[in-house]
Amino acid sequence: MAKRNEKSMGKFSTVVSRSYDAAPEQVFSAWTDPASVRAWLGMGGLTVVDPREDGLFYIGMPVNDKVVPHYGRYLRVESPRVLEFTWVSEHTGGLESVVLLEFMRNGKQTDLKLTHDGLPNEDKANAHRGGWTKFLEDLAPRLAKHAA
Amino acid sequence: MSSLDLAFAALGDPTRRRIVARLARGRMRVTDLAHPFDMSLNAVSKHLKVLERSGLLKRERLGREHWLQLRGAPLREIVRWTSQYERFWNERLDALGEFLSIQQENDDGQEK
Repeated sequence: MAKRNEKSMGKFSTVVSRSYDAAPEQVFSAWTDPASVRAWLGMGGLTVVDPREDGLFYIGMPVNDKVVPHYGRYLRVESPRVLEFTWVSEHTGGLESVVLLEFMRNGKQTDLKLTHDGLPNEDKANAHRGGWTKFLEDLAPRLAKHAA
Repeated sequence: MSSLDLAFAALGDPTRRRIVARLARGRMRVTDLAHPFDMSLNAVSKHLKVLERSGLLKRERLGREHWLQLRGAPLREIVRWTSQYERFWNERLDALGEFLSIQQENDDGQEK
């Protein structure tokens, strides 16, 4: 059974949502079909995906003439509702974070909710990540108000 | 140290986060700010100095009173830093939307 590697996970998370004019099956397969993943997530770079529990993926994203490796393993592959995989890149400090995708049918559309969990803090921040997530959450709307 | 390092270091202490939370409600006199903290004015002053050095806090002298006020810039920098993954996924999810609409056009073309 594929499990989260809680020990190596950070405390930061982020949630991003989108709606698509397509059926959940279509949106789901855009995340699991190798050619699809390569086209939009991999930005045309070398892409290997093996979407089954404990299967691995590798995406070499081309960014400014450089290849930025992103890789991980699949934790849950439950078409067309849930896809969950670990996510490792230079921006996670090489540690496993976890991306959870939830696909919800909404009429002719699909609502996609992406939760990226276990993001680490960096360098000095690592030493004291305690109350920051909540702190920043409370602060963000306040700052948005000031900016407006 | 970069300003981001200083801001993170300054906020890596629960007392200083409480100070920032209190000041988020508005500017305040040092004595009023220190009041609910179970520590000497001297100890609070040390925390205030750290926050001042990080740029999170501005001190203004009006006669004998010291007034404290938050500065938004370093806080916004922290929020921007922690939201870098949100930006990444926003861009990728937009790309997925384009991909799906192109796919849809191709499917429609084949049916004709």
